[in-house]
Amino acid sequence: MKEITAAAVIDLMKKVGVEEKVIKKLKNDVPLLKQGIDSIDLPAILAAAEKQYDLDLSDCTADKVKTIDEFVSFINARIK
Amino acid sequence: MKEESMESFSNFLEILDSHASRRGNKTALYCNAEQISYAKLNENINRFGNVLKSIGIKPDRQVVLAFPDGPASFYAFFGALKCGARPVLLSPDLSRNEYDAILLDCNAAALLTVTSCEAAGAGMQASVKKLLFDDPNFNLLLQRADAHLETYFRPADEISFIQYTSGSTGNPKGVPHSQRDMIFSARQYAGHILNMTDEDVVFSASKLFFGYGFGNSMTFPLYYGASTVLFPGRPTPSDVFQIIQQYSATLFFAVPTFYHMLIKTMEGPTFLPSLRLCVSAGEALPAHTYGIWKKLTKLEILDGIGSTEALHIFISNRQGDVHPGSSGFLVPGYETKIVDESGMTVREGKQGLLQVRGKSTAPFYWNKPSESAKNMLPDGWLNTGDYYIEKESCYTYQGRQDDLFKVGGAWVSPVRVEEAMRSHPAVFECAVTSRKMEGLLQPMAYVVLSPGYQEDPDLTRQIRGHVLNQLPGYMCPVQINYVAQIPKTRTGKIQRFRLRKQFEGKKEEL
Repeated sequence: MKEITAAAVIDLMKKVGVEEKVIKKLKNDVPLLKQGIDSIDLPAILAAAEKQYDLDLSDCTADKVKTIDEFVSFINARIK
Repeated sequence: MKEESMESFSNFLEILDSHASRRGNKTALYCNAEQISYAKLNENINRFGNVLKSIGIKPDRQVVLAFPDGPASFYAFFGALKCGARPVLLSPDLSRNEYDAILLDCNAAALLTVTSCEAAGAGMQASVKKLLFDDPNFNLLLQRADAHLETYFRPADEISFIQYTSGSTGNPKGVPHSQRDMIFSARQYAGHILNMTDEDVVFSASKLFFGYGFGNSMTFPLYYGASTVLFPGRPTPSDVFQIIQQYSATLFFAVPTFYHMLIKTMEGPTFLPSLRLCVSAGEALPAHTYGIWKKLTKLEILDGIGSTEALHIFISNRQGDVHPGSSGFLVPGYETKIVDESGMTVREGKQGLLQVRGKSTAPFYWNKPSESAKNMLPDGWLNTGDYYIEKESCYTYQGRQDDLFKVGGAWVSPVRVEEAMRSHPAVFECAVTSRKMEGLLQPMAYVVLSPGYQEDPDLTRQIRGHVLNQLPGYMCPVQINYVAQIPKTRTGKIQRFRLRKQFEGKKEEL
């Protein structure tokens, strides 16, 4: 599978209904929870990523996916 | 004050009187810019109690309180206790219908709340007297009220207050407790496990209306003459770090989901020099969450299990002896047994239902005799509804007996979420269960679509939005799976366990 970029993570956020004004301000290297993504949206984004890329995040640790950059690296490492 | 000198107290109000006279200037509560001493706390409790008496509240009547966490919760709770009424401390975030149902269930005589709370519109029954804490007239009443109040004598083991917890159908159940229960949990858990003293400054991200938050922020610090930091809204991770630093908090309490959120905002090792201990309860703390927190902060988290019915934690890890992924060991003063479905004790290492006995357990559910008979067993045993394994005295959580599950420390009733989802036109049938995401449980739904609708991310977003409009965010499914049918028994009951197994099976294939 082709490697993904930050744009693919943004697409996942749009799919679960994260507000456009929050998405517009996102920085790739800052924790998502510090940028207006809340504890309701984040697991929904992770669930959408699971479905899209055939992953299992059930027991993934909390420190693996904090920023968009980490999200991209995490997914790319698993879809190779 | 050393614990030994506290042994003589059997009534919590005597403890507050004693603090007011022996440590009157000591800060009991911090809230934003406010700093309330033990003397002032006692004085305001008396004023509140006198206002309640002045509006005709008699002993043995229930007084419902719905406030954001703050000093008013303390004044109203103990003011009601002091004049012999029974306080019922509720979340300020319930719907008007939920307040009405609880006011009716507990036969409330009065409702104290604030104008911004939905409760302000509830209780239209003529018999419920409503007081708004932020109403200038109420403040006038308070200012004019006498600062002295004789304590109504109530034996320590009589029902003194009621907490509400979620039932399996989502209808809240009243859990009555006595002042003896408060004192017992303070001595056994905060004393023996946390070694709490009057030098502690406590901050709990979990709110006062939860049994867990009630002990953390109210019972324990007030018992030991410590200080509590109160935060009226929902704290964000940055609020928590700021509060710990600003007030030099020594003990921090949160649910696993909150530790998870804190970790997700930490960009490297974080030094929290004032903290001596962290505590987690409400749901099982994943071992990896414990490990990451310890690595980043060098602080231990004592995970434990408690319940509203037991008032607080009765099994806990110990400082210096933490078993990550387990609930730990019995808190002194409590007994447990692990039984099979027929009530026979199982062998060590075998899974069974956990029962607990101790002097803080509720004797029954308010107005619910059949549910009381199911869970409050003969000889004082309480059925927790949790499956556990006990090995070498260490207890590890295995799951629930019923379909309820906890998200962020709060119960989620699948029935309630299904009801909310079913009112969306695209949802023909649905079932809600839980799944793990990053080690923590989250709600997940299965939907059979109505004719004319098709699976689509837009539709998922709409259905989630529809749920969020009706229920608190933690109840909203993080994932919706579209299916052709929902597994049911011959009598039409949804078999949620089959959906859980099916999901876990699919995960193993990945």
